[in-house]
Amino acid sequence: MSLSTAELDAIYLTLALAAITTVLLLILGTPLAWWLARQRAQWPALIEAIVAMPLILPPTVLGFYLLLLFAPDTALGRAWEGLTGSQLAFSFSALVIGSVIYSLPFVVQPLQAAFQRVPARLLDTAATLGASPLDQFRSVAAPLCRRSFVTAASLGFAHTVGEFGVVLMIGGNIPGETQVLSIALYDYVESLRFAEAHRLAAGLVVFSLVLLFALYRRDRRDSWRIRA
Amino acid sequence: MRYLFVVMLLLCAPCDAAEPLRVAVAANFRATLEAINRQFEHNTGQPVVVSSASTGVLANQILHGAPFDIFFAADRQTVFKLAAADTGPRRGEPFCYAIGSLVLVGGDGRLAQLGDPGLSLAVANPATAPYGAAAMQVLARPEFSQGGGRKLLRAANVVQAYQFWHSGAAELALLPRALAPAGTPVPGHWHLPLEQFALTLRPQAAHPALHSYLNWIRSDTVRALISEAGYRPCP
Repeated sequence: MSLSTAELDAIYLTLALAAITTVLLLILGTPLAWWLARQRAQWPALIEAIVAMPLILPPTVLGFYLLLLFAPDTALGRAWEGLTGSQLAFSFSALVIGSVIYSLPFVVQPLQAAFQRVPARLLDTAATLGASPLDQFRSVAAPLCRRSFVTAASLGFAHTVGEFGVVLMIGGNIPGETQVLSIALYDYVESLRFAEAHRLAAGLVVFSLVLLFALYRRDRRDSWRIRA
Repeated sequence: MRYLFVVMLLLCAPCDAAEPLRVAVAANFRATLEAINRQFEHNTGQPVVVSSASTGVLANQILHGAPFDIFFAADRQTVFKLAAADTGPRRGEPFCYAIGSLVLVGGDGRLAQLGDPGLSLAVANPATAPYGAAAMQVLARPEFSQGGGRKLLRAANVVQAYQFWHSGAAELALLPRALAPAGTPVPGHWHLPLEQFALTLRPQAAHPALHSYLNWIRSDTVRALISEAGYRPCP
């Protein structure tokens, strides 16, 4: 069983998309989750709700708005073309932006929950010892929440690999550019190439299972260790 | 060093020698075009990548900036509308490349089955697929009015309609002849003609291989391939 160029392209695109999205999400999501975890007021609940929206909205809603937003004749489309020299609509970059929004809750929520569990008195103690807020985060909170970073990154990565609706609407199924695995699979099913479809589908099932099993097994092992 | 390697891996995997030609094709013509492209790739070494969906879906993507070099549609209107739209880069002249026809598959093969409300029927979405629209024109004929209560399965495009029938989900399907050569032909005057037009979406200078690709598409070899696939030649 050897994979075709199209399949290798799709695998590469999917892994690149998921990796870039995960890195961006960790960079953007960490301060956001930290800020959300430290707020006592009511109104940040609105930001929380916005972050969580991709969990319940159909992907077609996001896909529809992004399709309109990314078109070459919009302000964003023109600005992007001016800055980078290439078009945003139906490009890999458009998929990255869409994926960052779509996978945001999968990274922010585990981090926020972990940050909320950091005892306030530890941070207060650090503050009395002269630690700046950034230092409190770096030396106290981040090491305590190390595991949650792994969880957040894994979920963000896996969810991006599992994306379909948004990518179908804003990517346009272009091999080598926007045809990620889920789209390639759809394409194979549509063109009745079931042997290839089986191969990709089974690969994705195994990948998701292995990743989630590794994640849950780690949590289980750790909760035993803590109890013992 | 390790990171450098990862970064290089990320940057360099898609660095192919020649920039591929990007072609959008209506689902009915995909398999034929892929055969045509294989020969072109073999002759010239120029890679061609194909994206396929229904004509309406592709036209919408093109209007929103999808970076295709050439578009093979399943009708005339969509292509002329695109050619007239002043958004996007300079488009070429539309040209006809094939004339399609409808066939009925499933059941005992008789067209009269279209009047049977008990038989489920798959068609492509008439809003986006010209073959779906033609199928609806056929169903609107008075002799099939009895079948108005039938279960009508709307597929995203003709290939999916074929799949609905092939998998047994639909008992009948109205499909392009190219997808089901053994199907019962539907008389051509029962629907508007399925003249399939193509359009270059960028100036020919935009891609070094575009000119030779267009010549190839209009060559006698390709005309023969298109006829063999079940299409009639353009006037």
